[in-house]
Amino acid sequence: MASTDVPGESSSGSKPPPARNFQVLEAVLHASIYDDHKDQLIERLKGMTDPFSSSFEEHEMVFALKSNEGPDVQLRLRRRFNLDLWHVRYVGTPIADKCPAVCRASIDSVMYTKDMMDFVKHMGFRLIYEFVMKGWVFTRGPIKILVYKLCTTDKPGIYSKELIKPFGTSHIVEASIPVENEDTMKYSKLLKDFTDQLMPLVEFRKVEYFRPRTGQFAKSS
Amino acid sequence: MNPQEPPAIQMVPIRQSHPELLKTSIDAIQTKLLILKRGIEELLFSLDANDKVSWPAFMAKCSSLAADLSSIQTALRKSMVTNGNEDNGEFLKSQLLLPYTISPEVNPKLLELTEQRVPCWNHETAPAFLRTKLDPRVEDDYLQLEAEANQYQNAVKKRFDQVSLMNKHLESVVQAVNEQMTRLNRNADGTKMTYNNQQTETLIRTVYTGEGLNSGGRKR
Repeated sequence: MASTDVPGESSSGSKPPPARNFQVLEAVLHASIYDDHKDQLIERLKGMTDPFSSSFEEHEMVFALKSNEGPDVQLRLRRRFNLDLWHVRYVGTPIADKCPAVCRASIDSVMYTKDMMDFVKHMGFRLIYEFVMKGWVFTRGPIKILVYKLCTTDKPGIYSKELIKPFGTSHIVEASIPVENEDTMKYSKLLKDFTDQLMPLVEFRKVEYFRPRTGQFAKSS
Repeated sequence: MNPQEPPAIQMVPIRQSHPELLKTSIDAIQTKLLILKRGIEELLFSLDANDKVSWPAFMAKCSSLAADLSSIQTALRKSMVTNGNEDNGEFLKSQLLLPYTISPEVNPKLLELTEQRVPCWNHETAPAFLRTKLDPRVEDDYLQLEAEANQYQNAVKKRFDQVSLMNKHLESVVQAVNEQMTRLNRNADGTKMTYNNQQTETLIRTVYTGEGLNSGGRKR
């Protein structure tokens, strides 16, 4: 398993990401935008962000190791569509605090081996769900913005171009910033200030996906 | 108190900035006043002497006296220094006048100087001559006028407050109406919404918790 490059989700093409950045505490904000308006958002983002952006199409599989104490450990494996280079990511549980953004730890890594699936299976992880995401990534300094569409397939296991179907009528927009010195408040505020500039096209909110869903659609903080 | 007579005028060694200037200006005032005094004396004599005084002549004399008085007034206001810069009376204002001795005894020298009118310089005459306040009647009038002015000012202030309060009310009304209009407009173009928060929630939950996906349990 080794190096600490981050392909597929690479930051701007002008300079490589810092090598030590594989273990970060990040602040994240989410939004969504209807499919027919996503072009407006892309144009806006192209104006606001660094010059190089890239598109990606990736297949993500989420494995979980069931543990007796506490919640399952989740591991996200991602690869460029139909390619065998796997990017492994551990996304930690978000910290429940009063920050305006969701703050969680995340560790990235890349596998060069071909028998990833066997390896993971032998470790005890089981696949719980998978999907395909297709979209663009933009950066603005340390802030990373992803605009992607979630797709699934009817037939599990078979991922060919014909069977990919979009899920929902919106694109997901995700903005994240790495937090230094555990100063979550400051970086969340920075992120919020940046994302507020995209109003009223999209509204970024702290989606507390880790909380159980309440019956009625409740506004998160 | 010293047994000898107090002198009519006492020389006090105070350093003056322009002693000769001061002397000339005081002399000028004195000459003008003397002329005025003579004029008033003539007027009174003419009244005493005849039973009937010709009215136009009397009026003429009075008007000339009034002119003299006003000339003294303007001269004082500008500057009594002849050929000097007009400093609006600053030179004279800056001079200090101090009563040096006040005694209840009759002072013959003073009597002589003032033509038998001021016998002594005591605690009654000194304040009367050195008073800087206006005549009581004049002062009363002045106070009355000031009170009236203040009253008007209060009324003005009240009006001002009323008008500004009205303005504030109007502003809030206008704002409310504006808000209402924009809200209505927004509701009318409901299709302008570019995002749906519920969708956001659903999608994010799907990505991070796998809700709603029909795959899973696939083992290779």
